[in-house]
Amino acid sequence: MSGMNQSSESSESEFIASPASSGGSPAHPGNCADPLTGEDISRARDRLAVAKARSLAQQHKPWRWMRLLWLLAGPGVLVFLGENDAPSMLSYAATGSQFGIGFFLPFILVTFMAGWIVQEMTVRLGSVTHRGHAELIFDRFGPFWGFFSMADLMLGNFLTLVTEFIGIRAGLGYFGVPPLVAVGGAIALILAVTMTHRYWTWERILLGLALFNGLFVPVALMTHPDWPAVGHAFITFGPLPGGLGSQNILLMMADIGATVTPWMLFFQQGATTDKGMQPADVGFGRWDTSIGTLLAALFGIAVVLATVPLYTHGISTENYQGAQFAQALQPYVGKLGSTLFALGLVEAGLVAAISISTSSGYAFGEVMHHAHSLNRSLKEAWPFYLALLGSAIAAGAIVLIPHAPLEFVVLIVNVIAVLAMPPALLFLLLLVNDREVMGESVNGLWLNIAGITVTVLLIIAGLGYGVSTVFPKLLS
Amino acid sequence: MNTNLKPDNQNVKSTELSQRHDVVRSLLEEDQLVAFKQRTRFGRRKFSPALKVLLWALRIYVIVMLVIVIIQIVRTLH
Repeated sequence: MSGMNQSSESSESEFIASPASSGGSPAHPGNCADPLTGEDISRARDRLAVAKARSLAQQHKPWRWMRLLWLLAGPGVLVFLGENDAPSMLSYAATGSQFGIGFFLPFILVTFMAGWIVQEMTVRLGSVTHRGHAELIFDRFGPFWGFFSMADLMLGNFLTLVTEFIGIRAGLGYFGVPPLVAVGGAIALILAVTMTHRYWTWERILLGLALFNGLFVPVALMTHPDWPAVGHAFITFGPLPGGLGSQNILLMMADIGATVTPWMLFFQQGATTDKGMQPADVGFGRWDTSIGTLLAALFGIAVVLATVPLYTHGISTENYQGAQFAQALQPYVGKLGSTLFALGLVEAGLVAAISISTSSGYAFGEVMHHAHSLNRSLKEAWPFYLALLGSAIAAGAIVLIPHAPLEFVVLIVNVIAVLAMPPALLFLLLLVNDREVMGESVNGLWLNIAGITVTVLLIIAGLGYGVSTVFPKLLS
Repeated sequence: MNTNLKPDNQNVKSTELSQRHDVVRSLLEEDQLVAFKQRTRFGRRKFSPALKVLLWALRIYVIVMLVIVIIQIVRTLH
C-alpha cells in the first residue's frame, strides 16, 4: 500500500523467537525479519483451516463451499444479531403494539438493507487493510477528527451498554431473578467468554448465543399473524396510522437506530481483522453479512408481529419497558410465549453487551496503538481488555443504582446512534474510496450511490426529528 | 495472496504451528503480521477545502442535534 509510513513504535516483549528449523518463507522474502507473536500463530491456526478447506474446494469435494462459509462466517452474523439488541427489540415491540401490521414491517426490511450496504464496506476495509476502523480514521484523518469519532463511538457505546443491562435485568426480572444477580451473572458470562483468549472460541460461543435471537419467531407464530395483511403491508408500505407526525418520526428514528449504528462499523471491521480475513475471503464476508442481515430482519419483524395483539386489543404500551411486554403478551401467547419473549430479551441484551463492549475494546486498543486482539492474553493486551470489561462493568453498575434515571437512556439511545451515524458514514465512504488504503478494492459506482443515499437519508431523518422536536405542531 | 496451502504443508497440524514459523508466514499476508502493523502506519491524507467543509458541517450537525435531543428529554421528563 503506497500510503504506508514507517512507525517508530514497537513492543518487543511480546514477540516469539523463531525456532531454528523454521527459517523464512520464500513466498514472503520481505517479512522474514519480522518476529512472530502468539497472536500471529493463533490467527495462522484459523487460516490453516481455511487454506485446507480451500484445497478441498479445488479438489471438488462435496460440501466444500459450506465448510468454507462455516469457517469464514462470524463477524457479519454477530454484528447484525448483536444489533438486534434489547433497546432495538423494545423499539420493534413498541412499533408492533402501537401501529400493528403496516408501514413499519417493510420499513424495517429497508433499514436492514441499508445496514448491509454499510457493513459490506467494513468487511472489505478489514480484509484488505488488516486494520481496525479507529486506527484507519486516526491514521488517515489525524487525531483531531479521530477523537471526535471516538467521542461519538464511546458515548453511543456506553449508553447502549447501559440499555443492554436494563434489558437483561428486565428479562431476568420476569423470572424473579434479583437485579444484582442478573447484572452480576451477565458480567460474569462476558468475562468468561472474553477470557477464552482465542478469537475463534469467542466467536463460536457468541454465535451459539446469538441464535437464541430467533426465540421471537415462535412467539410471533403463536399470535397467528394475519398473513394477507402482512403481505399487503410489504407491497404497499402501509397503512401508517397517524401519518408523519413527530411520534412516528421518533419511532422511525428508533427503528433506523436499531439497524445502522456506529459501533457496528468498528465491531465488524475489528472482528474481520481479528479473524484474519484476507481479500480472497471478501465474497464469504458478504455472504456472512447477508445471512446476518436476513436473520436479524426476520427476528426484528417477528418481534413486531408478536406484539401486534396488543395493538389489536387496544392496550396502551407507550410507557412499557422491558419485561412488561412479555407480561402483557401472556393472555395471547400463553406462559410459554411470554417466557420465550423474556428469554429473547435477555439474549438480545447479552449478545449485544459482549459485541458492543468488544467494539469499544478494539477502538481503544487501536487508538492506544496497543495490542487489541481476542487472541491475546490479558497481560499482553490489557488496554483492550480494560476498555472491554471496564465499560461493561461500569454500565452494569449504573443499572444497579437505585432511582437512576434510566428512562433517559432508553429514550435517546437509538436516536443518538442515528444522529452520530452521518459523520461515521462519511469517514467510512472516504476510507473505502481511498486508493492508497484500498488499492483496487475501492467502492464501485453503485455502492457509492447506495452509501451516499443511506447517509443523506439518515441526515434527513435526523433533521425531521429535529424539526418535529423544536416545532412539534408543524408535522402533527 | 495466501489463499492456498503449499503441497508440502498440506499435512501440517494446527498444533505444530508454534514450531513451524515458515508455515505461519505462508498462511498470513505480510501486512497481517503484528510486527509489520506495529512498524507501519497509513499516512495522513490531504484534505480538500470541500472535504473540510463537509467534515465541519457534519460535526456541527451532530452537536446541534444533540442539543435538540436534550431539549426532547427535558420536555419528556416534565
